[in-house]
Amino acid sequence: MLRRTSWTWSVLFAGVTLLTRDVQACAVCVGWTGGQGADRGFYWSALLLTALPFAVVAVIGAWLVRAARRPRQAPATPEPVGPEKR
Amino acid sequence: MSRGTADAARLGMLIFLGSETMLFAGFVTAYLVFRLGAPVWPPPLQPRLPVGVTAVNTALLLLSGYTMWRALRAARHGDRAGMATGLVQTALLGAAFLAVQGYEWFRLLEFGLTASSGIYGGTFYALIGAHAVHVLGALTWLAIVLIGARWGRRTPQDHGSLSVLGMYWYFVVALWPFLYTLVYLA
Repeated sequence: MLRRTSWTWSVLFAGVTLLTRDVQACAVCVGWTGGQGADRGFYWSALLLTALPFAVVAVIGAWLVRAARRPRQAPATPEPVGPEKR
Repeated sequence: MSRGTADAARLGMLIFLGSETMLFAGFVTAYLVFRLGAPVWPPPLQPRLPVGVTAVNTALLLLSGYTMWRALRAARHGDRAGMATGLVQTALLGAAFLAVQGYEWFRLLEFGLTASSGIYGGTFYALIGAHAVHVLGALTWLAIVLIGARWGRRTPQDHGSLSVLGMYWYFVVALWPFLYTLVYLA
């Protein structure tokens, strides 16, 4: 049983690796069809998407620093009622 | 809401808005690639976007940011009536913005601009539609807060939780002029 399963997997693996054809796929190769305009679009898009996470983290970090430096407010407790000390 | 809880809620909202920023950055960059790659934009035989009406709509949304700021300020000063008035004004302006957007879309659909009519319609509805969904979400949240205020469950002392709503509202308001300039004007 085990040998038959191994044999089946071997045939499948050989079929997948030997009988398939090469496919060229590239996420940014579409820029070639769009010419220089698309290249420019990819350039600015990559720049924006690279810079933005740093900006987001910087904003959150600045907010955390500001929140940590803010002085704690004293709890608003009412004045104790009682005889005045003289 | 205690100060520590309010700070945690604000931090959570800030992180959420960071992820939202990345979402819209993805939409904007996809739009940029398609737009700059196209030889002619808008493509031939596609309807032009209504720039004038949307400019007025932009003013409405910016005004709603101001009324939200007034509502938050009133809540900070313990002014319950001012808070409720500001929130109602914000909700009305947000609803007006969505109504005008819906009307615009209806007209564009009549002219044949659908999400599947081409890359122009697809990117337009993805980008502007994503923003409209966010405004709708903010409006729903605002309606829940208003109902709470109406039944006395929401008081100016809850301004910590209101400020979280305010952050979200400011985000959708601040994002819109950028999208308007990119999609309608540029």
